[in-house]
Amino acid sequence: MTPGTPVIHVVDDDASFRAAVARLLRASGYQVALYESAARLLETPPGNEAGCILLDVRMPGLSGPELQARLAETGNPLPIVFLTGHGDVPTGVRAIKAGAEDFLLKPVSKNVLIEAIQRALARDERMREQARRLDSMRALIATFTPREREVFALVVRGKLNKQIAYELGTSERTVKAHRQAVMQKLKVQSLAEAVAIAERLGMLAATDRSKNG
Amino acid sequence: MVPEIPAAAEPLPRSVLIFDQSDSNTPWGLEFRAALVSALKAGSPTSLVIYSEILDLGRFNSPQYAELLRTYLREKYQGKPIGVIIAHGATALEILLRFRAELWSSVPVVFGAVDSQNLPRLPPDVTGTTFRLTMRNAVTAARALVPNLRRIALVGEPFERQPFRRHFSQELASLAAEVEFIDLLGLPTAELRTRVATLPDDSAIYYTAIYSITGIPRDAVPMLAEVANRPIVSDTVTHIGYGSTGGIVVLPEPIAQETARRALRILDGEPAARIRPAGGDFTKPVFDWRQLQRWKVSERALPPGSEIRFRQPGLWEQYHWVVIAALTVVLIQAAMIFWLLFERRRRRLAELDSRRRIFEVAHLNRAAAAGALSASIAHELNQPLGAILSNAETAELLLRANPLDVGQLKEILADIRQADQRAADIITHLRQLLKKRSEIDLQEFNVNDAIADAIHVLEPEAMQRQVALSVDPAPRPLPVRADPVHLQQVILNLAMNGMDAMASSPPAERKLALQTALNERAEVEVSICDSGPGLPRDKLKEVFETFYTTKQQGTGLGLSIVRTIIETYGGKIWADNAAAGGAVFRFTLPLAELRPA
Repeated sequence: MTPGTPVIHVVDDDASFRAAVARLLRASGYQVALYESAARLLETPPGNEAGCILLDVRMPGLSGPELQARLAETGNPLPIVFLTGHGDVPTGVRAIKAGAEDFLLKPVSKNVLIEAIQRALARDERMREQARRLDSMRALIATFTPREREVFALVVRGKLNKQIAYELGTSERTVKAHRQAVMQKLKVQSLAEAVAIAERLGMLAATDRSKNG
Repeated sequence: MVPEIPAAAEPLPRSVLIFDQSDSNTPWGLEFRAALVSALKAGSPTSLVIYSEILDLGRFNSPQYAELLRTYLREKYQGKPIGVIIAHGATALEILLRFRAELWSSVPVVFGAVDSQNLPRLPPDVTGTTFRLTMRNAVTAARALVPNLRRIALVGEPFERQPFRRHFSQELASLAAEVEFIDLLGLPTAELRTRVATLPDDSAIYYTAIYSITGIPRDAVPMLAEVANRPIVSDTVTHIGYGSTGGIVVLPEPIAQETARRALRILDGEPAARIRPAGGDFTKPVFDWRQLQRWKVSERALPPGSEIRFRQPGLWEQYHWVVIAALTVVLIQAAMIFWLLFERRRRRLAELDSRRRIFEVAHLNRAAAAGALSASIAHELNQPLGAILSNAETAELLLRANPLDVGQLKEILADIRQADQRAADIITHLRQLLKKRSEIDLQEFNVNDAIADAIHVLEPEAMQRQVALSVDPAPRPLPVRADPVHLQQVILNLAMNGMDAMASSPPAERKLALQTALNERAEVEVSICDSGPGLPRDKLKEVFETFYTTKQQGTGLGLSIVRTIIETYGGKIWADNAAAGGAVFRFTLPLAELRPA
């Protein structure tokens, strides 16, 4: 297993099934981490490497959906594929609504399992990509001066230079210069692109709230 | 000294003198006199004086003695008027007639029991009856007793020494054509006994009389009968009852009665001369029933009109009321027993029927329990199935690799086998539970094992319901005799009830504890304790009633079935609340002796 190979975190109380599925996943080229209970996974949370969680629903102690909720609370982004011995519709629907990638029934065929895992890994990859991009945007914004930050916040809300100058108590020319610096730092050509970045970073809502609060 | 001769017209004195030649102890004499006296008394309208002279003339009959007797009688009866003298026997008659002229010259005489041939010349006022023994009667009787009779053994004194049988010597000649006579007359006792014990089958013994032993002929009868190998025929009634089978016998009573009748007629005024002496047949066929049985003689073979004496009445003759009562009681009892048996059979059939129904309901209840557990069971079953599928598919992948990872393939196959076994076990448990049975499959098993089996089925469900299941078995085996499936059902029902009761408790507090023990009465006691809200105090008994339920979907049959099952195996069940909260169901079962393995 080369580093960078995705890690499948298998959480199942049934030792024989755990062993079997681990064997299958390893043979299919994945790294596997095994947990005999949900609590065990919480004790040793997965690192930052790519992967997904293959989670049993019914287990002694913390159940699968409960673990899902805990992970969501702690902001763990790993996609979850549920795998259960007996799945009823309400449990499946709740799991999917809570963000599970799939809800599979034991016994599961290799193809179905691998496909679900691949989808989960792809999603993980997408999410990682997205997170990387957001990080780079945050890094750009981090280079702003306080005045540039103020100008940017007002620009993306569609304020005219004149209005901004008035709000900040400065001249229209100064605003224009700040605005140009912001566009350069963000490496965007148009206002629309700048707005998109602000939106992605959730800055529009935040500004709204601060204004209203 | 001579008494006055009464005038003819004068009534005779109402007095009778019995002048008896016999010994006072002979059976014949005793019977004759008793019958005579009773007939005289019965026939006389006024009281009668009776004098008896029992003279034993057979043994004391010398002329000198006769002279003394005459003197004695004269003195004795001086002043005692006699109406009629009754002479018993030929010798008595002869002496009386000799004495009469002097002692009782005009007193009429009635005689009886005199052989017609021995009859002397009679004065006119002497009357009476004669009889005559005949061998013909003995032959007739012997033929009745021995159908193929050819010989008759003659036993007794020589005939010339027997006053009543002197004429038999002549009769023998006429009978010789019909039957052969074996002459044992006059033999010494010892020889006689030998001879009568070895007679041929076609013979009978005719015993007449032996005086030489005791003077009384009857005394010889038992001595002969004791050794005789053939039936003894008699001609005298007094021999019957002492070993003689019987015969056409002469009886003292009719002679005595006829004699008394004649005496009374004379006393009543009829002149004796007008009553003619007459011969009579005073015989009758009389037989001893016991001897007839001994010689296997049918009563039908006897002469018509035979009297059977000494019949030992059968149970019926003797006790027929008792027999009828006993039979009635027995019949009533039999009827009652029959009725009770019938009722018992009906009850057993009804019990069987009701038991079968209980089994059906129990089976439905098990099926329902299995339905309630189906999610858990499916989950449980899918674990090994999932493992098997994954392992198999991994193996396929590994088979494509080069070189083959044989080690891992082996591991995979071992795991598959293990998982398959696990799945099979689950199915076996389930099938056991669902198996329909019409008869109890009684087995001796350890309750701890049955509980372990039940736990196996329950565990997934408990996990699903987040109930902590604990078992605390007794350290020793607890053998019971029951159907293990029924016991599992009991545990399952109680455990499911307990888990249902805890549905609204916080998950961390859901605890179901099973415990087995040997209680102080040496019974197996199983308790199932939950941590739910417990039972209302006033419903502790009611919970076992049929159709009692607190659940929306409950049938109210579960606990009722549980109780029926436990009671079927001789146990008891009761509910209580635990001190720490929650309900406790306890049941007991009798301890069985586990056979040494």
